[in-house]
Amino acid sequence: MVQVSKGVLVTCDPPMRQFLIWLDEKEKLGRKFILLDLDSTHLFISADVVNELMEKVDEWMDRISAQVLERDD
Amino acid sequence: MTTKTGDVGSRSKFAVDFQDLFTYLKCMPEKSLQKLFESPAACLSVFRVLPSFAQIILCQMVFLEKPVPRTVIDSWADKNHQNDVQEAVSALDTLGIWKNASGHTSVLAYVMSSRFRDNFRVCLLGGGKPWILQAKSESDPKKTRDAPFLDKYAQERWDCVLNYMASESSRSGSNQVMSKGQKDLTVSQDTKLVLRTAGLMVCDDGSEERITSAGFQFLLMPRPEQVWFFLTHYLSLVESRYACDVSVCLGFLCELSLSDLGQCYNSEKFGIELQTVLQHLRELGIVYQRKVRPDGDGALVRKEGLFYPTRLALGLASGLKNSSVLSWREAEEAAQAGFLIVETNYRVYAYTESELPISLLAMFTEMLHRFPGMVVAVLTRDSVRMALKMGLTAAQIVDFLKMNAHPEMRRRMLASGGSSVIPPTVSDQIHLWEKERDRITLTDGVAYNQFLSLSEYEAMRDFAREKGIAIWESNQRKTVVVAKENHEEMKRFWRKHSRP
Repeated sequence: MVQVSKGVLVTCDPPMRQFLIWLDEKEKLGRKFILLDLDSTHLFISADVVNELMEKVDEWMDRISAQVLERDD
Repeated sequence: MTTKTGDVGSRSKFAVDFQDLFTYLKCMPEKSLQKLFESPAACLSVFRVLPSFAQIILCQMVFLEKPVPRTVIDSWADKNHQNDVQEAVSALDTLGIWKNASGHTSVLAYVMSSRFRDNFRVCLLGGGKPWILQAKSESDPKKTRDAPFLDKYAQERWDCVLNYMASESSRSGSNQVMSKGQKDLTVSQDTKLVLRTAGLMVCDDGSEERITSAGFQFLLMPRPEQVWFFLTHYLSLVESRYACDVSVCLGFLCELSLSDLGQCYNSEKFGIELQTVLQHLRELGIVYQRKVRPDGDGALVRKEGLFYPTRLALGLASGLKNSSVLSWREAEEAAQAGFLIVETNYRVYAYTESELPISLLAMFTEMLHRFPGMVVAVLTRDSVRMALKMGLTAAQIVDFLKMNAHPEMRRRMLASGGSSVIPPTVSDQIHLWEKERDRITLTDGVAYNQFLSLSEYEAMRDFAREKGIAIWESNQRKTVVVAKENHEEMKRFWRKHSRP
């Protein structure tokens, strides 16, 4: 017998993976979404959270990016 | 973020279907090709874009009537160049320039298509039927137009098309930097149709047109590439919409590309379909027609019967490596000689009056101030990310800044001994902003795990490997992941495997 699961393969860098695991553990999307923790750069997640997840990641990236320009207005 | 699930198209660099005439010809149906070969100008243009060994073969064969065995052709190249022979043979095969003339014998031999041979000979020796293009001099020598005038005209007309695309985008965007109405910015329905067919613009709800990500990339392409890209899509429409045979139209373009700059040509004998094509080319700035006042009448009309090809037409069909195209590029570069100053604080100063470069700049910067003759913009993470989302790449943005850098920037670079025209901190940051979006790649997939035995896992893994469809696998975890579309294949294999 074999278990077949449909989902989305996520390829990312290790810090990003940690962030996703943290989102999963704290149930920041309201539920768990990681189906398989594959290795340090791959996760297998359920497909229905993808849009929500991307928003969270974008938010996070916005928070950690520094304002590089000076403006006078 | 990259998502292979949904918008993969907008992320990848958009493909130019036909990079040059050669790739275009390869996709033409046999019948149209043979018809195209009726024009000596087309034969010459085709000859010019063939691989160099194919040119050697044709030169050897053009005056031969009898078939040439393949072994003889092979002997023209030494052992190290058999790949070139193969490339040449397949090129001549696909374009139907020669035919297999082995007959009943087992010896593989070729003979040139008589139509191509005859018309190619006309190119070399002269004679034959008169060309579509007939040189004719102006009745009034004072009215003759020279190269600088035609260059300016061509640039203005083509800018018009680009302006239309760029302004449509900035109108819907947040940057309201366009001031419209000084110049005739109208673009005909025909041109709009081509832009839509080419996927450069889309019509969302039937009213408002919107530029696509391909359109954005199109705007930043070098001009000769733009014209060629545009025309390949125009050619796909001429037959159905303007009842003009695609071979006739392409043959005409080939003749135009061989014409002389500053020479006046006669179009009186053109059929109605070529007249239509000529009007389209005029709108794009590929040919110029003078407006004249017919006797007594006050209104200006375009004088049918006389036209000048512009530099956009020259070298058009010969692919993009042609020398006349290069000279055009030089002319263009000289004309708009860099106007951008990029500072290390991400500010961009553009010293220009014309709308097009400003609206191009507005695609990936935030406009701060606008003065007569100068605008100030700033590159921000948001503005660059916006452009990246639209499908531009960091390399394209950096190239645009480099290509249009002010001579002062170049001078400063040389003085400081640097190697980059724009500050490295800026170009690096633009690349970093792009990389940031690539931190996650998503692929719709199916995972197989919890196999009962190692051999079951190995069978599955080996099958996926063999087919090259495994996107992730681990012996330790006994898990295989394949893309969603390959699931059926795996399922079939599994059924067969588990019930032998």
